[in-house]
Amino acid sequence: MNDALYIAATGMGAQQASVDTIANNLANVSTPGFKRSAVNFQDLMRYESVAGAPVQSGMGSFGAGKAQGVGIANTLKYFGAGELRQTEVPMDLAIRGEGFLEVQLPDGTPAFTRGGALSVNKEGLLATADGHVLRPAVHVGRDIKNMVISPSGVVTATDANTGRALELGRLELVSFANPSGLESLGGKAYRATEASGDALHLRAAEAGAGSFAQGFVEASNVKLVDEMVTLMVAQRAYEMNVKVIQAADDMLGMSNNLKR
Amino acid sequence: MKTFEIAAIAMQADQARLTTIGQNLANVTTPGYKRVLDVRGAFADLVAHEQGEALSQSLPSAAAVDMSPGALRQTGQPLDLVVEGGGFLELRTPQGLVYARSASFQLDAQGHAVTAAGAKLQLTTGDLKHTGSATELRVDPQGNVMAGSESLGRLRTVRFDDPRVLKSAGSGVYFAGNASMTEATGTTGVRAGYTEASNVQSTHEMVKLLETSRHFEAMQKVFQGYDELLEKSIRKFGEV
Repeated sequence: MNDALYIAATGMGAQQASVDTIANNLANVSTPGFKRSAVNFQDLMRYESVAGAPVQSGMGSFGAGKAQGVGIANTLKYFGAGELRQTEVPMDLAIRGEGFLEVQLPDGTPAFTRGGALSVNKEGLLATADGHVLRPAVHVGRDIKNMVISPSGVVTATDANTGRALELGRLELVSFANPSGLESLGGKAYRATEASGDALHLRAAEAGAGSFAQGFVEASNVKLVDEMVTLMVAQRAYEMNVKVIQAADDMLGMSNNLKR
Repeated sequence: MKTFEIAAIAMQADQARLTTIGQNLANVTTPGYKRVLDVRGAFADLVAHEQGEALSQSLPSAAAVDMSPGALRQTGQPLDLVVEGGGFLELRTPQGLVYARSASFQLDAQGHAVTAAGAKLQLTTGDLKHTGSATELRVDPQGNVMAGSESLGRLRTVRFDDPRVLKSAGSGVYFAGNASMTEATGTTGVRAGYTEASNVQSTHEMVKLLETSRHFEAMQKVFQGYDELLEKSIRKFGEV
């Protein structure tokens, strides 16, 4: 009936989605390891080509395009590093720079995490706070003290009974062609998807790869000022779309009044 | 009866204009969006055609795109690219080649740099392909793409004689159609790590919105006034 009404409605929907994402970012501003998301918009256009054939560029065969408003191109997670905060708790592990730790979910499939508080599970293996075992598995055992994780991932400890230094294993880092394509599983774990590509193994602390930082946690990478600015913009943009709807409605009302 | 038709045509034109304003305002926060202008012929053109010809039902319209640059916003993502100096990036889609002033790319699982809509970024030698992490990539102002110290090639940038005639394909990219283009070498710069904000000026669009809705109202009054006139004359003649 009136395109402007529907176009403005897409605009309102898009801004609403943006506000939802900002709210989630702001709610998690002090969640360690949280990575901010942002909605990316794209303008929508529809073409009805003359003969129903697919539109081809360089042919000049596309008729007038029909504006369709705005749509959400994607909601991307930004994996920019958060600030590292020293906790001096030996079981806190963060990754300085780029990379992920591989962990094993209870169903045996791999997931990836940026670190966090570690624990030792009942089999004596290093695991995340959620109980996901690190891969490759590092057997720590119960009678161990002074566990040290070097920047390159080598785990050493002192045997509590004999006092000897032991090398327990080595943690590995992986990276992705497109980390933004990772699927969030909640609780700081991510799963590889078609969009992210397969995990690429890195050697920690070599050639641009990240390194391990024991005794640190990574703060969230949400920037309050950026989020507030985006929030204000989204609010105003929503308002503008409301005005368009009002104008379109007024005009419809006026044309109905042509016949008195 | 021509007055009715003229008022109706003007009202239809206003509705189309409102659609354009709606499209612009809906995309006020879409990165890389370029404002659409609603360019219409004058009423005089219609009247000139009138003698003996059927009056066309709408004003001739041509949607043109205002290609003026939007504000730059720093993102620090190496594959957020903006072309400065009037050039366009070339992208490949299943529908053919399309062009964009600015776009954000991600590496897909095959290592191609793609937009959210899946259009592939083109080098002078073909698709940009890099297996590895996107953070290793650097694009210098001349458009040379480097992965660490290894050169992957140079971005293909083109320049149009009249960029306003490009047809929007949605998602911030444009079909070239019959527009004549030349390879842009040395005259354009590529800025990596930035996105371009939409060039919609909200104040301008709100003024247009007001103008359009008042013009529509005026046309409604013309319509009603003429209707009244007709009614009166019918009544007067009826009395005779």
